[in-house]
Amino acid sequence: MTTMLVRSSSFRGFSFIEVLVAIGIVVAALVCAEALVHTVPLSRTTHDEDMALVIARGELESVRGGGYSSVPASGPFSSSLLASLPSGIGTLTVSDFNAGTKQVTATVSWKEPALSARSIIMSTLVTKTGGLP
Amino acid sequence: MTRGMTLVEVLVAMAISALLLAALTNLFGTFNALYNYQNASRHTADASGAVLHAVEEAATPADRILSTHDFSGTSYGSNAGSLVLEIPSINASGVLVSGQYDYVAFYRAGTSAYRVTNVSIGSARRSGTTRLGDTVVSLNFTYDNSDVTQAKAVTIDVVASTTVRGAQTTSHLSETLRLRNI
Repeated sequence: MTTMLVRSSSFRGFSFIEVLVAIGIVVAALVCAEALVHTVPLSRTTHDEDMALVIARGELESVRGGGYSSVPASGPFSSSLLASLPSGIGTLTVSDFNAGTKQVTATVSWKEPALSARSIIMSTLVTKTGGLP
Repeated sequence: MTRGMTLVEVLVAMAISALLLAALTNLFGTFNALYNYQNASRHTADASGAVLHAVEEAATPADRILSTHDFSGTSYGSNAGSLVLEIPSINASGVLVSGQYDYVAFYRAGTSAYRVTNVSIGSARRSGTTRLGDTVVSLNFTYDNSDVTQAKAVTIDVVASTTVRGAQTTSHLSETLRLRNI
């Protein structure tokens, strides 16, 4: 009863514990919100990475299919799927691995909105002998 | 004795609580919508990816494309909407079973894509029908030869799409696959 009286007549302020608990709740809420908001760019990045891998693999598959004699020169390559990546660009780099083997590297780069540029790289070897029919 | 609260205090407190409640409800709604959209987006990506990978897994070791094949009573053919492959059988140790072949067909029924497998005796593959994914709105095969039995490559184009509360999410994948055992 005395406490109530003291409390009502002149406000005694918050105790340290009360302040700590309040700050704790606010911080926890902020962390939760932040985590939820972060999943948006994260899932977008995953989606774009999957797409880039499919593009690079498809290009390497077509280079392999063409065989050693038709390995294209280094330069950009096209793919119908590149349009689904934000500013997606595909580049093929061809170098001589040894006398009868070429190393082909496909790089797919794109620009995540509000994020740094990203890219994935896949590489394969194409030999003179063997190959696909 | 407590003096209670004045009317103004009560009104202010109620206004603040109402504001907070509205903000929280709004936040919850937004997160809920976001969650549903992301789920749907992941779902379509999974569906199209699963179809592409399954076809890739079957087409690369295949030795030819068949114009038609009978899968225990149901016949499937290779055309724009479906694909039938013949794959040399391999046993559990990965060794070729000479003269034996497994048959795989891919097709779409409604918005689901299916793979039907029919294997020969001794093959390590398993017979049966698998649903590769739902939400598949388009599954298209194009061949590098108008006579499919002469084709050496097949291009698969798969689109998975779904609408969640008015927002559409689509996953479109395509790849040209070459038969490696012709």
